Amino acid sequence: MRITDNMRLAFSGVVSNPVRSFLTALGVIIGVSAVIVVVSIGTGAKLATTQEIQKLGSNLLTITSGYRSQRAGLTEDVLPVIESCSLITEVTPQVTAGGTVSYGDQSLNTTVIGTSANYPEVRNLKMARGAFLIDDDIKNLTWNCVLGSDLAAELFPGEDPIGKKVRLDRVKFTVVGVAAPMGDSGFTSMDNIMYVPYTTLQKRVTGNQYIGSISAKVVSEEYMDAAYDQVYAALLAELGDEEAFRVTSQADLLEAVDTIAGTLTLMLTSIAAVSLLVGGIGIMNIMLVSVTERIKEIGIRKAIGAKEREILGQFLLEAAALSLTGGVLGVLLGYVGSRVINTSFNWPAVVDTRSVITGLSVSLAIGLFFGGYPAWKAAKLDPIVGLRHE
Amino acid sequence: MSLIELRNVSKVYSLGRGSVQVHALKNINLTIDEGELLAIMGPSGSGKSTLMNILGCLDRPTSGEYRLDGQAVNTMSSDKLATIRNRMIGFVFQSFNLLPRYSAVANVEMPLVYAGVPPKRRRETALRALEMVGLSDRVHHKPAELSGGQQQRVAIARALVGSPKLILADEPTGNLDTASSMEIMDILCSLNKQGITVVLVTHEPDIASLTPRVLTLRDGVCVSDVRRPEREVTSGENN
Repeated sequence: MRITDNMRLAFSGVVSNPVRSFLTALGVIIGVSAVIVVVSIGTGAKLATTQEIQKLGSNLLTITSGYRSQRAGLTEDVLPVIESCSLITEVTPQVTAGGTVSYGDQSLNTTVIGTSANYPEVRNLKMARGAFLIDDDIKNLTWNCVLGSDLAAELFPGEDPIGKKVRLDRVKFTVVGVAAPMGDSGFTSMDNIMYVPYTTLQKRVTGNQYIGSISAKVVSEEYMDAAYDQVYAALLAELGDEEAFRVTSQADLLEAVDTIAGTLTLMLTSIAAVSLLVGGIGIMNIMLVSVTERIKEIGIRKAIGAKEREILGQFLLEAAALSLTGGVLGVLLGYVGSRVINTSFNWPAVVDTRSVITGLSVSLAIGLFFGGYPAWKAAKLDPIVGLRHE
Repeated sequence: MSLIELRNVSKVYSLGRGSVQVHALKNINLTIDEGELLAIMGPSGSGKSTLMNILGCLDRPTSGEYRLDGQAVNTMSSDKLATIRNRMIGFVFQSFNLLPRYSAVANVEMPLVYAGVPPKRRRETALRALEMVGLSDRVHHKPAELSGGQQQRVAIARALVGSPKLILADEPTGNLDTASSMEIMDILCSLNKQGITVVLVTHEPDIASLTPRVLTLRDGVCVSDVRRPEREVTSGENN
């Protein structure tokens, strides 16, 4: 028998009962699309983090408080300690708060970052208009602020924000500059941010003396490890407790995201695997039904000269065609799902070619594995039993 | 030259985990020459169907030897038997046994599919076989759209499409009216005249009387083997 004839036979078996074939393949469709979506979420997250880190530059150390408690943490006293390290060129604190910023009848929820004058240099922030905060602003606790590009565009449609006063909850800031667009950092917009002097934010707005995180720029990428040791030693000497602070590099951050994304992907993929298993059992079930329904046909085919392996091939290929059709539909559904996540949830989901190939080959393997027993049963059928069957 | 040679062929079925043994055939000795037309008769349970299954290589004897065209088929593997059935034997069944999903011509093509004949050539061969049974105008009809006699003619076309040496017909007229039965017998007789050996099982004496040799079975034993001279055989025309 020619292989093309058996393939045609297998395919006609699938299309001759389209509703049943679709329902049977549903388990595989759901399983494969789940794999595609999950992997696209993980891949997207990794890609976005990598891009963000590349944007910021990889020669950055981040110092945060080691304590979980809100009432303990780093204060501005540690800034000169870090600055004194020879491998560190710039140090900038970031005190983060949230609030509603309004101008006229426009008002928006936004992130407020209290920082120092050298923030643009450390974090690669460019200015579109005006200037960033200066050292005098920090020293004198002024009410000056810089707006992110999206924030400026939304609060001041068709207006020049420079010199205008915006309200942040109960206090007013004067806009001195507008940042250039930074783009999305994967998860949050970097353009919906209001920058104010950290001293003003700490002492005149929140009353909280602690600093959320400190960015320290290292002389060059090759000294990252040495700079890490320097900063670590200096802070340990200052604070006397290694639990009080944490120093991380961008590489650590990338690794952490990788680990989280990997764990998440593994977990969700296991769930998808269960769906695929159930799909496979469904295929086995319906193939057994199909063999029983076609006992007479098998008997006739064997009587006129079908060999065992030709009957085996017919049913095996039919199961594979069923499962692979499910796989193809699953890939399409997964692609649509990942686009939806991309647009509605603003998550940078990216469909990975490898996950498509994996999805298709897994579905093919499921068909061959779970179709094996029914096909074997069909192949071993006694032709006399088949012919006698009514 | 003999096409079929059975020596001391017995078939024993074990029922109920081997506690009951049914002797369906007991020491059958039978020789059928190439080009013969033969009817096997007997009441139900006499072993006709068992003998047909063994002759058709669908079943193996429990003991004894079966040589088909000089080859000992009782020792062959099931795949080898499948090839023998495909190349040497054509089957015609009482209930036609056509595949309902396929058209007449697709049904006739099926043995050629398993013989590995390319699509274009097997379509031509199948159409020629349908022409031989007078069904050229029904090639694309499904079995359900054909009468019983037409379905049996499709089945005969399927049996002869692979140019077999032997056609085995198990009650080929059992489900048909008299007129259709005669048509079918005419076709089988004319195939026999072309040199194909035809063995048919029947319980109708009218049908058996159309053949020059009649074998009668009872309780798995061959009780008579009657050959009549050619001229005494009643033909379809003067019946």
